[in-house]
Amino acid sequence: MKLIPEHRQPTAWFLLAILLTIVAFIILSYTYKPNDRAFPLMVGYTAIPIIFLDFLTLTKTKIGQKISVFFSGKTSELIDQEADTTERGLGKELVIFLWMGLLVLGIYLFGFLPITPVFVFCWMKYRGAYSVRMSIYSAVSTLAFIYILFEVVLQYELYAGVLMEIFGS
Amino acid sequence: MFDSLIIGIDNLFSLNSILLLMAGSAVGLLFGAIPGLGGTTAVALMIPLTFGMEPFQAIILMGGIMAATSTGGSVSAILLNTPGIAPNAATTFDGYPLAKQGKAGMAIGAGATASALGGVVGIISLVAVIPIMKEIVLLFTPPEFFMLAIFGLCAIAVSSGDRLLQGLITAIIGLVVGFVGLYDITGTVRYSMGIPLLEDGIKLVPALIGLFAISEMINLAVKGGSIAEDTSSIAISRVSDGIKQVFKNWSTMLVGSGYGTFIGAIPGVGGTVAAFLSYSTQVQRDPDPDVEYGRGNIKGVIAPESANNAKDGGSLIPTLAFGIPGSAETAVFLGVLILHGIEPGQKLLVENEPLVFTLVVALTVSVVFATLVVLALAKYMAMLTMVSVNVLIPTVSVIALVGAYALHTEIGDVVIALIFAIIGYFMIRFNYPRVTFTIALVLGTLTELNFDQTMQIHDGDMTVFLTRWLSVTLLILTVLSLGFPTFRKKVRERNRRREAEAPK
Repeated sequence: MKLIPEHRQPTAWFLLAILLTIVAFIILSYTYKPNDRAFPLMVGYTAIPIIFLDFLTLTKTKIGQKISVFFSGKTSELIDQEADTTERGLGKELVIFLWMGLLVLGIYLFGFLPITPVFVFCWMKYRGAYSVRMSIYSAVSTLAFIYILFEVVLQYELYAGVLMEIFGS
Repeated sequence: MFDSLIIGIDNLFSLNSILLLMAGSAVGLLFGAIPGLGGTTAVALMIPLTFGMEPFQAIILMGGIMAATSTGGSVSAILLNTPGIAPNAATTFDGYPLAKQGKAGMAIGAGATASALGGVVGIISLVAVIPIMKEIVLLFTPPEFFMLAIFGLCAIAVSSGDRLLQGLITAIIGLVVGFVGLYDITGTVRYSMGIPLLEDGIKLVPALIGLFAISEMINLAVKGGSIAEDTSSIAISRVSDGIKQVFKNWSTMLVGSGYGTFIGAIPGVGGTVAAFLSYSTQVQRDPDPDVEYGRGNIKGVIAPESANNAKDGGSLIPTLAFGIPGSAETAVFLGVLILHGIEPGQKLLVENEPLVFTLVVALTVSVVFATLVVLALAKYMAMLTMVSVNVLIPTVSVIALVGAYALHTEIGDVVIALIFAIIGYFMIRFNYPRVTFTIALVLGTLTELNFDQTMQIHDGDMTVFLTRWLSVTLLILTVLSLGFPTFRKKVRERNRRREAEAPK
């Protein structure tokens, strides 16, 4: 019998990632002077037992059930029943992260104004399956909104991209 | 005082002044609704326009902007889970779930009405407190600030609902994030890992934009559909229901307004803290709600929104009384006053009282005007929740990223927004509350800073927290706020048991 049921394993991995972050934070804290690290260390060390308790609530053990009831008034099974049941494949999530990552990378390389219509058009056409005309309308309106509000009215100089900084001058 | 009020009203009710007020309110609404801009940017950008104006005209324009920003911010918080300005973050907790249930109109109606009434309460308090302003503000020293922050942090326990362990974990992550950057007490840059962008700390606005707006767009992209999950039941005309809810829950609105005025008056604390405290107090006051908080309880919209707008009146108290701005927005406003030769402090209150009352009247009219505009447009705004996610996601993501960049014109803030978007998405996915993360992020720095300052001033003597009356009062309030919901629950359970056992 597995200690953690399969459907709770992704949460356990998430918790493990948090634990590793906190451990790294504690180790890093020791590189600072006592005055600088006192409060952060207090916070860091408090986190470890709480994460451990939360980890126990994910298990099928009796103690895990008792902890769950003590802190939430509900058993882990009841919490599972109330949870969002949307199918979230890792592949699907990675694709969305990739889109968002490419948007930020595009902004960094080419700036806001060229990337805005390209991103809006590509998303609507290829993810939303909208017509070319509709996608172009949305892309141009978003670009116009950003350009008129930020560049014309507010006179912000929107980031023009690192490539423009290197080759533009 | 009455004569000054009459002059204030007279200054406002001319065609020019009304046009200026309407322009200010429109700018405030727009800047409030677009994530990352906010009232400070709006006031700063409008300064050059006031060069040729009479001082009272400049004050009317600025009053219009300041009063309308929070109302505008509530709209994007409710419809898109994107706080237009940081203080609106607390509105997202129940406002957005309401929008998802197809009740965006009701949420906007309640938010705007609570904003207007809260704003008016704040302004009335400003007028009432003018004679005793100085004494109140000076009561707050580091031990009191520390206790106030602890009081706020205890909100984590109640804001987590049935996810207490998870709430505590995300709160700790919030605190850890808050430690990044320059520590003012020792001058050490901590946890920046040599990245120059992190030396000043992680900025709140890009972090909130990522955590609430972009993470929600990622979530919608994974789930598909539209923001309103049940579009068949959407009743766009529920705006009036929202207005009625505010009058029905008048005590929630009054308590929120009280928080807003009081905390707004304390320099450096600000509207974000006021909104969160108001929200968490509401959760504590209502241990047995009809709808769980965080899942679309209308009182969860009324409480932070009334605090949000009431803080405008409150933050003007120290600004006008002795030139100490209560918020970033009022700091810029202070610049406008000085630019027009108006010196804040006792002199302003004695020699330029009509100008103070012009501001009071402008704020009052503007907050009502902004609310009427929002109420009139609410049903059209609410339609946004029915738009397909594939239209919303690319446009909102791009505008949110521009907002994250615009505040400090720092491209690194765009990356920060993306990182927090991914963190926020995982919090949504694994059902870890984002509310507690935000509370800890806002209050963590305040807690550490004031604790260290207290220790330095009082040579490490911890008893100082127990020897100052205001500090003790705040401590008692903290203990009560933690124990009261459980106590009330127990009493209700006992009463129910007795009723069940009683012979029929």
